[in-house]
Amino acid sequence: MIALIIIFVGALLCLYLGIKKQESFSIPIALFTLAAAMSVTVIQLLSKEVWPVEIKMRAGGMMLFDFSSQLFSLLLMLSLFLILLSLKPVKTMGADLLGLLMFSLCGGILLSGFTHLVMMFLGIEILSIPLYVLAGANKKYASSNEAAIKYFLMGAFSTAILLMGCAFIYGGTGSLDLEGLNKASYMMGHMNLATPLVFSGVLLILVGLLFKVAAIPFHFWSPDVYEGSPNRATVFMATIVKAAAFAGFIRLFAVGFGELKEPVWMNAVIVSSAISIILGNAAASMQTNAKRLLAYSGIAQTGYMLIAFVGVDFSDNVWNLLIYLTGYISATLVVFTIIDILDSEGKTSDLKAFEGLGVNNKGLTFALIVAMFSMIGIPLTIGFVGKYAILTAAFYVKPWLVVAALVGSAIGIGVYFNFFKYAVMSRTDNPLPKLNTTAGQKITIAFCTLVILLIGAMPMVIANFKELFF
Amino acid sequence: MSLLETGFHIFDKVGISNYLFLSVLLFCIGLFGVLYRRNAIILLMCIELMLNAVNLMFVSFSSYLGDSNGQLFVFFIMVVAAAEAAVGLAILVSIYRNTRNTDVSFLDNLKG
Repeated sequence: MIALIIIFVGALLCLYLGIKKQESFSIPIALFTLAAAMSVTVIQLLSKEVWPVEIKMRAGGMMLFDFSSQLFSLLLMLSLFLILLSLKPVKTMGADLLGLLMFSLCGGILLSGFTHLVMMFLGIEILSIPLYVLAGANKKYASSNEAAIKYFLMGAFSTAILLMGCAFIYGGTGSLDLEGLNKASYMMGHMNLATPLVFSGVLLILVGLLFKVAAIPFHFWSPDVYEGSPNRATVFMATIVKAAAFAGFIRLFAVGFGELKEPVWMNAVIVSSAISIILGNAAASMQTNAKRLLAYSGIAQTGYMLIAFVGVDFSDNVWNLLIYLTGYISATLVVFTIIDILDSEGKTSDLKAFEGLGVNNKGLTFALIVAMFSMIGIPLTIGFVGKYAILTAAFYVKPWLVVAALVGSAIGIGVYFNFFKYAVMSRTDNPLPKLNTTAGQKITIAFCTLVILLIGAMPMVIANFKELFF
Repeated sequence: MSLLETGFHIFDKVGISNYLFLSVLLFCIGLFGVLYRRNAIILLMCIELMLNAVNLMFVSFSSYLGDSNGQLFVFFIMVVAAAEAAVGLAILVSIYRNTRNTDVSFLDNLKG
């Protein structure tokens, strides 16, 4: 809660600096604000031992920052911190756009800590509306315009569907907050009478949220939007928006509708996840544009994250999802930072731009390969730890889902091998020269690579952390 | 004598199912409009129609259940719809400057 207020004030400051044309201060201020918010969150998390009462801060009864939501918001803040570090020098980005990024982060934090459907709706909208602007930030380019209008129309459309679901749920249960929904769904689950109103409401909400996380029947906007948007907006969509949407998704469905489980929404999630994994990877293996490829691979990764909903124990599910998201975000950040570096050298986001990367840029290539290993899920990377945790939890409930996931992973090897092929194996006559990287970009890449390797090598440390928090 | 004291309730005259049918009908008109029309301004209007159908449903449920949470939700939907319309129209203006057109079927550069 305090972190939310700090970030909001920081975002206002950035907007003010944008008006005053003092843009050189804006990135340091944003970084400082995020660091302050992160340290407050960490202190609140760690003070559990100091303060025996469970830390649960309520805000008007509509938000509740328990441990899972604190951890999710910490992840969101850390990824925005790294994204801002890796941005090109300030000239290319006005302070007002920076402020919009921070406002969007506020929405993400709301979404990870809501207990009332009004707050969920506001969180989704505060997360999305600044991004509609950011996607169209390159006003002169037709592709940026097209990405913005597609993202806007699809976003508003899915919000309307989600709201219709909320209205049905409200009519069916008479309640809008998570405790009331939990009680109502407990009654319905045990007396085996989910009314048609509740049934269709849950499915409509599910459709709205699957739109937001870009899972397969509702994924069609994401490749176009990822390709057309400016890099900074794309990396934000690929990491923070996806993580925040999942935080809200698992909170609503595990806490609110958890008791309705089997008949109503679980099967829809499972089918969507299996199709996403297989078709997402298959489509990704046919792409020639790196940003499009990452959009399709993001769809496949969404499928894996949806598997985390299947497990029996709520806190286990949240923890597995967090680990998986951490791995996905670190790998994505590495790849996007490299795309951004190539972009500032005047290269396009085509896969061919990676040709001969390995000759003069050993460090970047190493980071790229580690990130790709993590996406595939090769042991000793965090991707493996996350996939292992999610799949073992799902194995006892739906064994065939694990088979679908493994088939998808096998197709996925081909996808990520594309990068390897261009960066290392191609025998080109004029390989890329030594690329200029700023200190911030080096820090981002090094930090993400370290996270991937360290957690991958020592999963037990993370398991101990889990004992601490849950 | 006020309406409340007479025990008069709006749903005595016109049952709640009529309100629900009307709002679902409006929602479906908006939904099919989004799917079939190609002019961006009409798409925006259709999305507004969908949101207002949701508002109608929230208000009628709220009145039926005697609970104020639904009406609270309606206020937030109206505020957010206004913000969304502002952003959407701004995006449309920047598209119109580049293409001199508001037809979304011309926007097909991104493929693959």
